Amino acid sequence: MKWLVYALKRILYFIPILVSLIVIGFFLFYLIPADPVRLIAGPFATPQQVETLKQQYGFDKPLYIQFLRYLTRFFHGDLGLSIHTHRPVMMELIERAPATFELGLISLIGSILLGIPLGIFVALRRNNWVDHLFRAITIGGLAIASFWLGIMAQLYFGYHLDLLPIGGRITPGIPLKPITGLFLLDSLLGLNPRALFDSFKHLILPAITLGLPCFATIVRFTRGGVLDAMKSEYVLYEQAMGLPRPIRIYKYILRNALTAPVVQIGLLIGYTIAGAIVVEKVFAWPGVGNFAATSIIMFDYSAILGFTLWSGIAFCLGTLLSDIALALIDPREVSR
Amino acid sequence: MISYMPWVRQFLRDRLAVLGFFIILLLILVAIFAPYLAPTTAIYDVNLSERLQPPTSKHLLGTDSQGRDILSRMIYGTRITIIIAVIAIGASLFIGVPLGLIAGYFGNWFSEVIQRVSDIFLSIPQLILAIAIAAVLKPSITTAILALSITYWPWFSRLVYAQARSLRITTFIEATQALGASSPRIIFFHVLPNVITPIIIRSTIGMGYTILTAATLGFLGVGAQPPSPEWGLALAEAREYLPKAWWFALFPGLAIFTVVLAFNMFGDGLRDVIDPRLRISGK
Repeated sequence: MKWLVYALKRILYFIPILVSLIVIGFFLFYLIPADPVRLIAGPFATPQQVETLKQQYGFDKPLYIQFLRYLTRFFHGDLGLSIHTHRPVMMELIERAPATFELGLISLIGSILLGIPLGIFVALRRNNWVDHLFRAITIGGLAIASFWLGIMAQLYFGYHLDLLPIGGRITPGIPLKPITGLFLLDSLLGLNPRALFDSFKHLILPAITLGLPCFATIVRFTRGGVLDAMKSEYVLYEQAMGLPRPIRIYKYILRNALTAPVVQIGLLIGYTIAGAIVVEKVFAWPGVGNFAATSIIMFDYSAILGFTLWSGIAFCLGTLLSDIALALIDPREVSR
Repeated sequence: MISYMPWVRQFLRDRLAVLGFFIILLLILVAIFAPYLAPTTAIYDVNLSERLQPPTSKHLLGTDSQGRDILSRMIYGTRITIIIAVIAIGASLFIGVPLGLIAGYFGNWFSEVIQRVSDIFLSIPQLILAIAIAAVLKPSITTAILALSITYWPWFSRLVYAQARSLRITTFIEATQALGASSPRIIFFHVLPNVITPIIIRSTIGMGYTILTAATLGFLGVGAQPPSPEWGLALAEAREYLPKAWWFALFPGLAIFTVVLAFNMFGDGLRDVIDPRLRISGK
């Protein structure tokens, strides 16, 4: 029961955020560009064509009618037509979502699987050279521009060493039957080792580029969490009672230490969505972020709005997941 | 002044923070004296006969796709970087600090509104919101600054709100109230001075973050526009000439990295010294 209330509370928390995102989206994209019809019609449209378009899109109606229409369309999953691909924005987003999901998921899971053990490891060996080395890496990882890191990785591993592909998801010509749209999973399900190996090779550089800041953040907060927990009085008490160090660490310290990185992981999901725009552009990764990057240059407003709403929803879902994970680790969250 | 001395001594012991401080100082000096330091002031002149030359003694960091000296353009680029960061953080302070002070001190329906609005801003990734704003308005450095300010102020309002709220119930504020001081007077002469420290720390860390986001906007085409020597834009241009012109991509990115790193190290050091409660332990 407590859990249900907690989950409901968390879900309710996101509703005003999503609603405002939708409202901000409307005002930003329908009101600020002086004349959206002009933009759709292009520079060579006659006044008559503009008038027809105005009626067609409903721009001649009062504002609240326009807003209601926008809402109705939104809840029917209609985000308008993309100007640069001439296809429904919703379709573009859905088709590209698996590519972004795969990249984001691999980056995050990789960062968590490497970052948490490493954070614990360096915390237990505080101030030795490993600790200093990873402190430098974490500070650097947060200051590096991902587009630059990506370009440098392409230059070195792609062009110079000719070790890894510099872009795309899979070498053209390798057959892969789409099932889920996640290439790694698809090639596993289709028992296709060649596609598995190839798509994995394509994932390495973009995933590292996108994941480095996540990795840095997780190492940093895990280390901090462990050190904080080690200083707390209950640990001192256990130490005084002669509880062996491994039990102290694994049974009592880690659980408390992990709340800090888990909160960060929730925030990193948002970072991953935003970072995907840049990383997918650099690596010509055919995902939602790359679509957004192209839409920006093309002034494709409905596509940008669609992406903004899409990432808002994805971000809220991600935060919700990390809230639930947090409550699993620290049940005190639920009764708060 | 005497009470500040232990801070300074402790700060000087953090070698990374001191290094960060000197890099920032250097950046400011380079921006001010750009015309005297740059090998050439003709940073916009196209010279196709010298395009895409690797680093030589004539062009220390090589030339770009238009035959322009990369070192000179990077030196002028420092000005754009500093202007964007200073104005964006300044504007965020200007919006966020008063709102946070008012919301925290009064604690009425208006505070609720401010808190909820900042919540919304903070719950959407900053880069995405900034891109949406910058893309809808006409892309330029001004738009980038606007987008960064609109998306960064909630960090300040949130921070100031929390501080002002806890100060509201302290004895010394109660005493000034009893003496009959007006609310604006209390807010600006008694509450504000007490929240300055966290504001300074947040601004320093925010500078590095803002510089990184501004470069990202430039790279994506919604910030500075050609022929601006902005660093992020330079990288976008350089991408077209890979792998041949590696120097074109290497140096502007290195500059962004160094500057952001400097602000982060300086900010971290400052925070550890001034407000150790905020630090992630053991650092």
